[in-house]
Amino acid sequence: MRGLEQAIRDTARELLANGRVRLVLGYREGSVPFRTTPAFIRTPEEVDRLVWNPFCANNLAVYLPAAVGAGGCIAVVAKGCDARSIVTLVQEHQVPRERVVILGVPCTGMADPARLAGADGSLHGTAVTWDGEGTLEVRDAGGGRSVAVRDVLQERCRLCEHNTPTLADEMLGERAPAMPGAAEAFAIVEALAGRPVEERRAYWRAQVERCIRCYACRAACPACYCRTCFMDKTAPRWASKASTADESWMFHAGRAFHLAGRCVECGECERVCPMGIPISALNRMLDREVRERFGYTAGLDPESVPPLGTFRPEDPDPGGSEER
Amino acid sequence: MADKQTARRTAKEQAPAQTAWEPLIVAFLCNWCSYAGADLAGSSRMSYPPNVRVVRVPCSGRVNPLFIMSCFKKGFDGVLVAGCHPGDCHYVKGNYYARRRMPLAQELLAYMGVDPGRIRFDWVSAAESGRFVQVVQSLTEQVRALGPYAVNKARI
Repeated sequence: MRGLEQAIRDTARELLANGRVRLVLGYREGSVPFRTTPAFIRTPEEVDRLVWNPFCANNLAVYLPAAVGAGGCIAVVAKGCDARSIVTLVQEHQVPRERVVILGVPCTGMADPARLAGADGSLHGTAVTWDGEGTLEVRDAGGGRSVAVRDVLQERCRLCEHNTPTLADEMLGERAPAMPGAAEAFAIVEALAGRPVEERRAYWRAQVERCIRCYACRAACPACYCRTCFMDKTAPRWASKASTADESWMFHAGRAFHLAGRCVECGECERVCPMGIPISALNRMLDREVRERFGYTAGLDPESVPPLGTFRPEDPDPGGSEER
Repeated sequence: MADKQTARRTAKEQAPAQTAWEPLIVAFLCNWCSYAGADLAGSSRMSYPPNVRVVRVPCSGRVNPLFIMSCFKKGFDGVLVAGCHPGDCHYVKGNYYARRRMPLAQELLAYMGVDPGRIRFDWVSAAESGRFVQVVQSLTEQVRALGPYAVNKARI
């Protein structure tokens, strides 16, 4: 998989050198060995800063509308989830298809830094090197150890159904094997939905009550591109700024619904949440519902119309009409 | 003066405690069918539970799911959304969009702990005054059986 990094660099260099794109969105090394940071590469000389490893967690599609808005063609290093986000952006006319070059990277899942922490739960002083395949060498105060990436996957990656990009202009590797939890993507939804309604209410109330309304979920979400979010409006003021359970409930319920039939479950919202709120359990529930009701999966077909933006005259009639 | 105001306020605050709880339901009625149906029920002297507060909207497609969430946040106990029958929409297809949106919103809120019985999405035409009465009656009874939603009281 070191080959992937080389392929990313070579392709990026070529695209920049021949003027096909003005910017390449990718990953570069972060300030600690178990993180990467988004890279904005504008010249062929900078291309060697691009990296590929099991810590390329960010969904780079989030930068695409602004980058395209600033002009020119943009190349994006895209994992399966990123590619699906781009499909959504194309579908919703936020990004013209011809202005984006998708550099598809078959993804074998990202490692969760929290699961590399030593016995003391700290990552302070931890050094990590990747062997280029499926193993991480971790060195910390407790000594060195080998960890398989598969054993420390981020949950969203473990459950990923489309780790190989479904749409790419340049595919930079062979199709990656399916992720271990792909078949149980909705297990958390089923577990929650099976509980009594009062328990669900108490559960979500306790979850949203912890929300500090930093809006990191919204900032990290490629589908949250509205210039004015409903939460920022003053008339009507859907919810106040107060981070109480009621107001935050409104935020999370509203945001989840706005992503219905659009969310590709990249899980960025949950990853960036400083309070550990299980945001994607809301999105997954709506995703499951949309698949069942409308037979539609988000982010697969740029030509299709999102299910809430269309209808069929033969759609089922609402329940609750029993005494007709 | 201040005493008078305080007395009035105190009386107001105490009032709910003295009377039995009654469900409070918001009804979003489409201007062209359901609102006219409710109007016909009134002018036909039909009686229905006084628990609904009607909000007239141009079309059931106008009803944003955020309206429903707002109602529950503000402490209402139930929500009714009613529009023209499929094919009868004044704007041709507004109710078709609502028919995709509303059940999904109901499902999301159910998942988050709002009993689906508190939300009702239905068709009522301008001639169906009886049906309007029936829908309001059955929803009111359903919500009464579920008890107060009262987000705010749960916190105190």
